[in-house]
Amino acid sequence: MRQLQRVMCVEDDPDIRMILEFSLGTVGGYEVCMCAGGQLAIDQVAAFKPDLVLLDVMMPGLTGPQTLAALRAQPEMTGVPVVFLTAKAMPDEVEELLQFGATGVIVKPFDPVKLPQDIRIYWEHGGGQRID
Amino acid sequence: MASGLTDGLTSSTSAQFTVLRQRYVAGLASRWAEIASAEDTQTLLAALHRLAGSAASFGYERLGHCARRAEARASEGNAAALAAALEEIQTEMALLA
Repeated sequence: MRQLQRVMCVEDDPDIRMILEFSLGTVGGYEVCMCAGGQLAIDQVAAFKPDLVLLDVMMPGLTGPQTLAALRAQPEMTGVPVVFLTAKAMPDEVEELLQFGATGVIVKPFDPVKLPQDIRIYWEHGGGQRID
Repeated sequence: MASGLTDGLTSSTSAQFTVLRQRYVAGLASRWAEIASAEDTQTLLAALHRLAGSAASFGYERLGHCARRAEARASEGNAAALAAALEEIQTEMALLA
């Protein structure tokens, strides 16, 4: 079975990008491709070939759901789980995000020490769940 | 999350996290400036939402709670309650600075 190694993060907030780099790169040991917006992710996905994408929902320009739709159109994204990262955590909002075709939802603020394990759970067991 | 956040990390990784926390605190003044200078509710909500979504990941849970509360008050359009919630944020930021 392929290992979870390459994680693409799409997040507009520089502080969240900083803590994601620490969490997934330093703590988790993953190879991380950090994108400050949806278009950058779309531009880089073919070259990076992520095993999993962590995608912020509320971003200027392309939103998370719009970015997800564009990423899904690329052949490199076949079978690649996409997990939304959101500070909106009401059950109906989470359900709506899952209906866009995400594998799961991780709620901000996240624990940077626990996050590497949380995304591994999505990688190993598939989604449809919310992780706080 | 705050104090136990780095339990189990190596001392080197824990030290890196400390540096990130310091950087985050150093950026709080500009986050407050975004909040204080917001000219409409949507801009204010976005700034509070970003603060609420990040503070606790750096171990600043109380600041995150204050931001979440202010976000709720701003959504309700309750000016007096919002002013009080914003004051709480300012106080909390001053304690961290």
